[in-house]
Amino acid sequence: MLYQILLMLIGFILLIKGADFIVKGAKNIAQKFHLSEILIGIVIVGIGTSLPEIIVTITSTMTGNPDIIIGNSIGSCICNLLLVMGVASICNPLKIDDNILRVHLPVSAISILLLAIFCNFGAGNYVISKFEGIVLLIFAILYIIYTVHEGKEEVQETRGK
Amino acid sequence: MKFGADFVVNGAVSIAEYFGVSQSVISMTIVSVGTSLPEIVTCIIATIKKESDLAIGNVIGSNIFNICLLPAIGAVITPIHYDLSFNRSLIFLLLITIYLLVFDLFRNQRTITKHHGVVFVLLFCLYVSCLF
Repeated sequence: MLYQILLMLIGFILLIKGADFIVKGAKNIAQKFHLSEILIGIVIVGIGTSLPEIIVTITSTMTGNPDIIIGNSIGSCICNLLLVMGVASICNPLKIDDNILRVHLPVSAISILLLAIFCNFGAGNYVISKFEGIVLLIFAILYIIYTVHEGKEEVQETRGK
Repeated sequence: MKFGADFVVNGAVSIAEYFGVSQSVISMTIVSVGTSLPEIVTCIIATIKKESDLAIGNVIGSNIFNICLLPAIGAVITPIHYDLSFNRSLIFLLLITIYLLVFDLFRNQRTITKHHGVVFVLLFCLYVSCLF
């Protein structure tokens, strides 16, 4: 058992190091192609911190352990909101700004509802089908496009000042 | 990275078997805290540097990715079966998100203070202990 726990710890370290490595590589490539800083910042770093989750998802799909995917997805969110935000606000009070309140939080609530509906009322008995997967994927891509757009506007505003 | 993921998934499956709890419980606790470590580090560094909107943005953004992207990737590879026991946690997650949405309506302020932080962390401990 101890051996398994140790292996798992090594697994986490490998995953995080690997994600870090990929982010650095992606940054270098992006800079060589003169992509904007915002695109690098939001997309590469944003997805980079989620890379461990993504790789674990793919692995657990391949090995036929679907419970780990949904569990990891919901569990990570709850951990992010309560533990990460909790610890962060103990270090330093956090201010929720306008944009987060008007756009990001509602989008987050909608995506949770969307997943709940797909899981409970969608086609088939409590299965997330390929089609529903594609809808969720499109939702995620639209969100990425929006954040990049938002980032560009912010930079223009600060330059204008 | 592939080996890392293999170790994590195998570890989760065997720890679940060893303690006689379901895989879903292990994945919601150990696996999700482990894979969220990059977010935790990024967020805390951002707060210490007083870039608080970066910290919250990172948290909410990665939540949206986690909710949409992970099940999507899984389902596109092969349709995934949903265990009904996840509904409780999904509702809990929705409640926290809605709470944050109406946060400023209650108190006319938009700052998550130290007190809130302590309550959040305690709530997380309570949630984990409820799972087991």
